[in-house]
Amino acid sequence: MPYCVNCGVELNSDAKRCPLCGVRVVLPPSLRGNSDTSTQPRKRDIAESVFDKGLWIQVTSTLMVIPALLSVVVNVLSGTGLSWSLYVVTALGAVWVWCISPFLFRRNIVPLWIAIDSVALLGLLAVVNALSPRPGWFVPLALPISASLSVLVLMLVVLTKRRVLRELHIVAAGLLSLGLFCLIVEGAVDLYLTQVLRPQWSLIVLAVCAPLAVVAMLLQRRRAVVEDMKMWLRM
Amino acid sequence: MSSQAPAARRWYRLDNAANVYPAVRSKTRPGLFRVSATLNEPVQPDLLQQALGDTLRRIPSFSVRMRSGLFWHYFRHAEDELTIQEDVRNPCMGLSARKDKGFQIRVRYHDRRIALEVFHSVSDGSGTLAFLKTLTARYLWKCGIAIPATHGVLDCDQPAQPAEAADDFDAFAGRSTPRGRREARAYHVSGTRVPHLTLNITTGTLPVGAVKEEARRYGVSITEYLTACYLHILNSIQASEHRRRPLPVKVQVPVNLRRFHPSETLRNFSSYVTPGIDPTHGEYSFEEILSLVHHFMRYEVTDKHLRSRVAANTRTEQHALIRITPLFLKNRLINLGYQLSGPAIYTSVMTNLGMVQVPPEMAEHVATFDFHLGPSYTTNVDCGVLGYRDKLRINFTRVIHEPIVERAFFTFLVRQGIPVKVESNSE
Repeated sequence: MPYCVNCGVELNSDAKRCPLCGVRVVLPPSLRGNSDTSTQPRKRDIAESVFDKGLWIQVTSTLMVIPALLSVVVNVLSGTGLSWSLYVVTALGAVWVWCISPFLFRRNIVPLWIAIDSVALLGLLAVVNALSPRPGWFVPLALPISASLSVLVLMLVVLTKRRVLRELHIVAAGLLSLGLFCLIVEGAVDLYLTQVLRPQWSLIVLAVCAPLAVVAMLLQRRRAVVEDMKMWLRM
Repeated sequence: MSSQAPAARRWYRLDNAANVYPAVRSKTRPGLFRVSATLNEPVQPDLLQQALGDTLRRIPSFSVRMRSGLFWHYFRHAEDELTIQEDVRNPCMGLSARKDKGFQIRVRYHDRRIALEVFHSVSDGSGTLAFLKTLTARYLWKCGIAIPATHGVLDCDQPAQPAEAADDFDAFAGRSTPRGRREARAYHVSGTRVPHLTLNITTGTLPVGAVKEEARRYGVSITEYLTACYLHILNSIQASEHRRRPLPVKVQVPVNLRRFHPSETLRNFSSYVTPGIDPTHGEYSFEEILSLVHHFMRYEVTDKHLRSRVAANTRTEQHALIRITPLFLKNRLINLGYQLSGPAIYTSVMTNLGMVQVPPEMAEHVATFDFHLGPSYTTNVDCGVLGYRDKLRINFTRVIHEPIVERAFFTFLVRQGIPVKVESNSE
C-alpha cells in the first residue's frame, strides 16, 4: 500500500500522485497495483445550451407593456383622447407576438410560429387601416401582399426543414420566391391604383433572379463547388 | 396530509423546504446531491432498469416532473419510464430536459456502482438513502438474491403509503414561535475556479472505530468531532490568508428531523444548525472549538429550537401576502432571501448521514455507500459524510483547483492518530 510521504495518508495502489499535495508516488513495479479504471468513469457530463423561455417572455412583456401604457396615458392627458396611442399599442402588440411566438410551445414548430407572426402582421395592418383617415387599402393591397409573403416564407421553411431543398437549391428557391413576390406586389399596387395589371419593374427583378436561380441549381450539381462554398461560408 | 394513496396522485405540492430550490436553481447552482452504492459484482443495466421501474412504482414521489403553477411550483407525477444512464466523472451537474426527460432524479451505473442523483426539492439525504437502499435491494432481488424489507429497505410488492409522501414540516413546527434568520456573513474558502461542469471529488476512508475512539476521548459524538475538526482547519486556512478583519467561520450541519418527530416521509424533512467561531474574539485551540461545537449542538439540536427554526420557514410560506404573490415575483423574492441567508452565512456544509444500516443479506453484496453534495460556487468546498460497516467515507466536493481544505482536514486527522485512505476523481 503506498502512502504519501508528505501528507501521511494512504493512497490507492494505482495512484501516481497524491491527490492532496501532488507529490509523486514512487513504487517498485512489483508493488504497483493494476490500474483500476473502473472506479472512475471516463465519460463526462457535457453542457447543453439552455434558453430561459419564461424569462424571455416576462422581459419582453414588461418591455412592451411599459411604453404602451405610457403612450396611452400621455395621449389621454394631452386631451385628444385615444388617437395616436392606438397605433403605438397595436404596433407594440404585434412586436410582442413576433418576439414570443417562437417560445410559446414546448416543441419548436417553426411553421406554426410563422403562421402566428403572419396573423399578427395582418392584425396590425387591419387596425392601422381601420384607424387611418383613408381606409380601404387593407383588402386590395395589404392582404394579398402580406399573405403571399407569409405563404412564400412558410413554403421555403417547410421545404428546407424537410430537407426537400438543400444548400444552393435553397438559394435558387429564395431568388425565385423574391421574383414572384415582386410580381405580386406590383400586381396588387397596379390593381389598387389603376385597376389595370401592367407589370414593369417586377419583371426586371424576375429577369435578374431567374437566371441566378438557374445558375445556383446548376452549381448544386457540382459537389466540389458546393463544398468550396461551404468552406468559404464556414457552413 | 392527503388521505389519497400517492400512487394515484397526479400531482404533489412541494414541501416547505423544497420551494426554495427551483427558485434559486441555476447553471452554477444545480441543487443536486448524490448517494451511491458500490456492489461486489458489476451492475447489469437491464436488471437495474427493471428494478428502477419497480422502485419508482413503490416510491412514486420520486417519479415526478417540476411544473410551474400561478403561485407555486408543483410536482406532476410522471407515468413514463425513467431511463438509467452511464455514470460520469463529473456528477451532480444540472438536470437536462432532453437527457433526463424532465425527471428530477437520475440513476447512473458504472462497473459495480449504482448512483442516484436527486434534485433537493424531491427529497433530503435520508429519504434518498431509503430510495437507494430499496433500489439496490430490488436489483439484488432481480439477480436472484432475496433481501428482506427491513433496516429501511421498502418492499416493492407493497403499495405506496400516503405517509411516505407527506409534508411534515407544518406538523413539526406546530405553534412554535418563529426565530429570526439574520446571521452575519461568513468566510468562504477561495481558490482558482475550475471550468464550468467540473467537480473535483476527494474521498477519505477512515476506520469508524478509530474516529469513535477519538471522539469518545473528548466526550463528544462523531458529528461533533468531525465538525470541530472542519471548523479548526477552516479557521487555520483563513488565518493563513492574513486578512485585516477575519470573518466568522461557520459550518452548516443539516439535522434529520425524523429523530424528533414521528415521520415516515421520504421527502424533505430536515433542518440545520450552523456552529461556528468568530476569529475576531481571539485564537481558538482545537479543544476550545470542540467544546464550543459540543455545547452549541447540545443546545441547538433540540426539539424546541428546531421547531422554532422550522416555524420561521412554514410561517413565511403561509403568509397571506406571500401566498397571493405570483410565482415569477415569488421566485425573485426567494432568490433575494437566499442571497442574504443562504450560503453567504456559512463557510461550508458538512452533512453526516450517519451509519447506513442494511439487512445482513444485503450487506454481503454491497461494498460501500457514498454521499456527495453537488457543486456550490459560493462555499466552493462542501463535505458529505456517511458510515457503512466499519468504514467512514468523507467525500469533499470542490469547484476550485486547490485541494487545500481536504489536505488540511485529512492531514489533521492523520496527526490525531486516525489512519486515512484518500482517493480522488481528478485526472
